[in-house]
Amino acid sequence: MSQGGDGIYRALLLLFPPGFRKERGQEMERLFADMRAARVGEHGSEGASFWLAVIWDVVRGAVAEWAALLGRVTRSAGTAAQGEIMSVFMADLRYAGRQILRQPLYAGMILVLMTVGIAGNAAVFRIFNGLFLRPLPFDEATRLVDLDETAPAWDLEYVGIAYPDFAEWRRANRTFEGMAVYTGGGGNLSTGESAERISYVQASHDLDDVLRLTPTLGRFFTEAEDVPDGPGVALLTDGFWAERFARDPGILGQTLSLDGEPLEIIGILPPAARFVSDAQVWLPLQVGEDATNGWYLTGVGRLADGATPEQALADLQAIHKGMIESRDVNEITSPVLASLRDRYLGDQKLGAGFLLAAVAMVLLIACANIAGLMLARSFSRATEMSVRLSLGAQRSRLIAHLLTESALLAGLGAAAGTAVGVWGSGLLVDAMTDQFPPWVTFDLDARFFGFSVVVIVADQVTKAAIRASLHPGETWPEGWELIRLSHVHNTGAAFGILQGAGTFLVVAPFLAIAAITVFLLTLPTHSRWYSIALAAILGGAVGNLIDRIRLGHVTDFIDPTHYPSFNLADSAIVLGVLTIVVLSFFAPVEVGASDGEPAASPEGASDDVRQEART
Amino acid sequence: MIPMPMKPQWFQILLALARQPLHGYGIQRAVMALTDDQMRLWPAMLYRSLATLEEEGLIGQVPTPAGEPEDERRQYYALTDAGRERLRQEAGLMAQWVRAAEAEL
Repeated sequence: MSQGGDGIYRALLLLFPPGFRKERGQEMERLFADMRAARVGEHGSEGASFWLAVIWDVVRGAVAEWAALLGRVTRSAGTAAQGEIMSVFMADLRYAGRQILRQPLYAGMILVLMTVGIAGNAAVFRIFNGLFLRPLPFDEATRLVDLDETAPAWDLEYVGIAYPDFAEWRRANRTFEGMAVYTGGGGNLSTGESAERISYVQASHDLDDVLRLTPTLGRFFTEAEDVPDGPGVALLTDGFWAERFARDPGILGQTLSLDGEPLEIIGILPPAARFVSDAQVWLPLQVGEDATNGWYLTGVGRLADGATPEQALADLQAIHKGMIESRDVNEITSPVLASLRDRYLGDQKLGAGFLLAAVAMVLLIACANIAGLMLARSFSRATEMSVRLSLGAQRSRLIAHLLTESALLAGLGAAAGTAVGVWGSGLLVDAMTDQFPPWVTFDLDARFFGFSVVVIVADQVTKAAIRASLHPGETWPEGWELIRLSHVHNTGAAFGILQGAGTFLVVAPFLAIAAITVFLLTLPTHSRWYSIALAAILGGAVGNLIDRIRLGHVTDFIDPTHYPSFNLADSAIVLGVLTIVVLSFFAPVEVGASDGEPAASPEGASDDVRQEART
Repeated sequence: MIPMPMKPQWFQILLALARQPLHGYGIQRAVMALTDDQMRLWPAMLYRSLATLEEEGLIGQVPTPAGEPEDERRQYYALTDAGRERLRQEAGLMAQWVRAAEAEL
């Protein structure tokens, strides 16, 4: 949550001109973080009013900075006085505000629709992002696999690993860089004056190497400590160290008592250790290879460079078979492996995908309603427009008015939607945190939204520039045959197809967005390029949609003369779709892609194993 | 040139820096204290003001004072001599207004 908020603020700062952002951005982020911390300390959470004030502050400041910058540029070119652009813009803004206030019911309905649609999407996307799109917090996490044993004869898909099996796998394998096991437990911890119930992890000594966790302080267990009746040593997790010991570095070497056993604190784990468990204390496993206490361990392995999950599984199965033949034990179970994410989230992926598609539909319906409202209102304002035109108003000024009005509405709706979405998903996450492994974090990925916003802004600014400088039908430069700028009203879809299809084209982009989102969810890889491509498509679709709702047509201006005209939004959509198509051809097969197959093959393998054991 | 009288937030920032150099959050809290919690300078407002005052030579960026933790994202600002003089003029103008008002009321 804390990183998410800072990320949102960083994304908001993209609204400022680059020069100002470069000079003051970092300090502003720092100040924001301080204010937020103070606010959270005082009230427990930021609250919607805090976010609204912050967003208003940034939007107002960014508008003023851009106006000042434009003023400086135009003044140095000797064309317009600095204040003029600003005062025209402020006049438009005031006019738009009055228009909105004059029809509070209309504006209110649009705001509510946008808030509901955007908040739902922000909330669900945030959760989905946390589960499926963000990489695991480990170095080269794609090489990590979950290890377990399966026992079809007992009708159990996962039974846990028995320590003797693990010890043999670890010794004999040729496809893993390392593997480790751990289990959990609970006990009473006392530190002299007080005692409390805590949970702990018991890990084999190489878990830190497999996950590439480096203790923030001190060291991990050694092999010599991970033996039966070894010394009482422990590491504290980052959260427990902060909460109970205020991050006191002097804690190393002190002694705790767990269920009466003394434990020396030898290190502090990094925050990423939350992946393994939300336990407070880590202890060495200290189990011998002759242990007979059954299948209860969770395993994690790091594949050797170049080894595939299939090779690794075959390797483990061969080792296991050898063990059964030589020792005549454990013929029921056989090893299985799966990607970490799929092992714990595979079942939830489909449900989450449906949820995301469902809220996308809600946004679609909200937008269809907004389009209907705006259309109805544009009829009632036709008189106003024609009166103003006949009184000598410039067409560009009228367009600027309408653009400012919709931008103001859209800005207010987006701010309210994001604030409600962040707040609402916070509630949602709190309500269901028990159901997810502790390493899943729910942060808004600012990059995704930031990129969409960049596409939308670039698209809208270039279109506005064309509308302001060329009359419809006019081209520049005259006489260029290959490619030139033209101001074209396109009532069809991208590149001029589906001319005159009208309101259908307001709804279609949302269907496209929903379809692409669902398509994206079914892909096995979690590459950031998919996110970027989706963001480009989203930005492009929204960019053209703004035109359609606002003007009834799309402004195209890149005119390759022998080919239909297009604009930046079209380009973003096409590049985004191409990226996804290309990625789906060349995407590396991740561990996750082995979803169904290992589940099937170990059963077959263990059948073989059992038959051989009998003969 | 900054017109006389200056914007209230600029005046409060100069006043906050009159005692000692401060970083952004320090200025924000000092202004809150000076104005009895009436003026909360949000980040964009504060840093745009600092940029203007710096351009006008009324304040300057200074290294982190001895004894304070070093953090490159916590730039300290201090009043320049011109800034102190200008603050004195502004306060003089306000004092004059207050005297005039008190004479009338």
